[in-house]
Amino acid sequence: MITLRHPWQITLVLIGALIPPLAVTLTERGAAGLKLLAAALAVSLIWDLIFTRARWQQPSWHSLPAALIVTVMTLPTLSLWQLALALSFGLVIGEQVFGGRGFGFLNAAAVTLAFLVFAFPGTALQEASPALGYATLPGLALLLAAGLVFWRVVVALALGLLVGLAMNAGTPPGVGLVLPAIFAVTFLVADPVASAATQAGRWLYGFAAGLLAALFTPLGMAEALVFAALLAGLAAPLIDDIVIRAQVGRRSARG
Amino acid sequence: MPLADFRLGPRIRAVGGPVGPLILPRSVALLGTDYPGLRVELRVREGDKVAAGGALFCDRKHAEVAFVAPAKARVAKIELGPGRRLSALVLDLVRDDTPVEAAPLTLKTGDDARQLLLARGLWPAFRRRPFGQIPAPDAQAAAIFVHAMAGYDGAPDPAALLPQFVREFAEGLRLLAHLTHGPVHACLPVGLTLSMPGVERVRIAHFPPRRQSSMAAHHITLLHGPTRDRPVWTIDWQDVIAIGRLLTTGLYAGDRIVALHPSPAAAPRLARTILGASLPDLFEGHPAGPAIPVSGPVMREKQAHWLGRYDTQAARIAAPGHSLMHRMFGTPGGTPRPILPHAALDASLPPGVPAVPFLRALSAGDLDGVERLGGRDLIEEDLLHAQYLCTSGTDYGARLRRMLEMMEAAE
Repeated sequence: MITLRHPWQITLVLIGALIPPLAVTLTERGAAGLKLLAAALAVSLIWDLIFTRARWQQPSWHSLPAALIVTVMTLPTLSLWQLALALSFGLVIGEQVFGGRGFGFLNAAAVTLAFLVFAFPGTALQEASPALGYATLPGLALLLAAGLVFWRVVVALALGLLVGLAMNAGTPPGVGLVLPAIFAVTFLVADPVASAATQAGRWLYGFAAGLLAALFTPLGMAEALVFAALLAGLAAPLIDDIVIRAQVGRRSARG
Repeated sequence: MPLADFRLGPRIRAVGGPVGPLILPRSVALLGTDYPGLRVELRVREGDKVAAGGALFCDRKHAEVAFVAPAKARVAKIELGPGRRLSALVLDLVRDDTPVEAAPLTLKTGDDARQLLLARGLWPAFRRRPFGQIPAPDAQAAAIFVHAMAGYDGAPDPAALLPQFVREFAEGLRLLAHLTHGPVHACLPVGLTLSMPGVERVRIAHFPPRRQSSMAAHHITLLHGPTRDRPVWTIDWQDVIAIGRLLTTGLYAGDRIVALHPSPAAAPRLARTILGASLPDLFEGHPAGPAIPVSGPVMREKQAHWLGRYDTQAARIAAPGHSLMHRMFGTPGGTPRPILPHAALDASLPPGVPAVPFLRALSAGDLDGVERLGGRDLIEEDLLHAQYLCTSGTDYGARLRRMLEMMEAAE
């Protein structure tokens, strides 16, 4: 097994996981999808290079997977300037102002998508097709094997989502509801940087994100997961803090 | 194998097999970096001849703690840093074939045991926690932990080697029991059972030979708890055998079994050599390999010239960062890289220390955070796995040492 020791190695694994869902999206959309993809990649590269050069940092190239996630989750009818503006906001405010990926606590793609929905009323996100859900599974397996998705988060999230949906509808949801959620769950909610960093915190974080997503489903599954990722990500440092306080309290009681 | 073991990280690949003949290096050294905070009072001058086990210097604060020559030698060079801190003391070994008479020692009291180890140079085999220094001669340990596991990939495997030295090991353990009123824990890999009569005071504990459960800090956390008010001492299994040999023969044993990795491609092998051996001497006779000699675990990746006092492996590695991918993607930057959480990091620190928050606190120099998350109970070597697995490339060991110095000064 390869050991992940450099940020760019993690970016490469992430891009590898994104290739099948991206391929599905592009075949579903054709030329319009390509235009959006090219624009997203260009914008993300520009910001990445500007900030890493200015800081004399090693580029982690992480803005590229963020651009790919955004491409998959936006509608092909979105105008390019809207995409550019939203992506710039997401990358700069969600990631680069903190010092780049790994220094902040938000997922840049989730910030971008939330910005799109808020800033341009009426903008909808792409509702994922079942094909996209299936295409995400190999990537999810790869990320789980590489340790870049925490199984605790995924399991807790599935639990939270099921409990929340069952409470909403009174009946447990079917596969038809779960499949479209897989992409956003894998790449937005289960992002290791945005997730809680303690083991107990990961259970809480995943469960909270699942409940929130179930609560927001009337907005559409994609929007629900974006907001769930964003809110749970904002709460993650607090969750970690609570968990650590509880652990330290136990330790000093024992010692 | 229980399923829960997977959470403890991958199995440690220890080195077993036959032990080669003694490699007698031309020179050996005692290094200040192995003894943080030590100020010395010299007992020899450059050019002096010393016998095996003869005193070289002692701790200026505790003159009873003697540091001795691991073999018959001539003092070649003494380098002192500011404040009489030892930098390095280099010895040129003298080949010595005269047979020495072995006479077993008998001890009557616990004080005898202490005096013996102090005077005969085996006291520095102990390191105390918190802070990782050699314990004071009159200090009391709440417990002693014998680390009889391969802590890192490529270390000599006690599961394969320890059965050959059961008698000396048991003798050593019996002496340790005299040093503390608390328990003596011998931590062995699962599956290694030794028949050792007469060591009833010693508690044998078995741990899976995996990344997290092979660390001394893991054993201390599970069997003892915080060390702040109840300090513990740790000692390596080979040092316990050396104590046993001192008791049975009356002679100082300055040789250790080390695993040699001449190159990443070649199979590692075990050999006997002298403490502090010169690494170029150890690799003499091997075909020219990669350029950088490393003392201790390969993942330390720090160029060294001498075998460290507490190291039981030595390797030669290629200079890191020269692959095509590194040149394409990583430009050499001065600013720190980010800490990107991934699952392997979680099992890289002892239980109860949340890896990512702890490493973030260390990077940020957050003393309160480090202490709150359990940093007081750790020493540099506990962070080696995390340092290797973390994307930041930060030297966490050096940062922890600075934090420990601050905690110690505040006491």
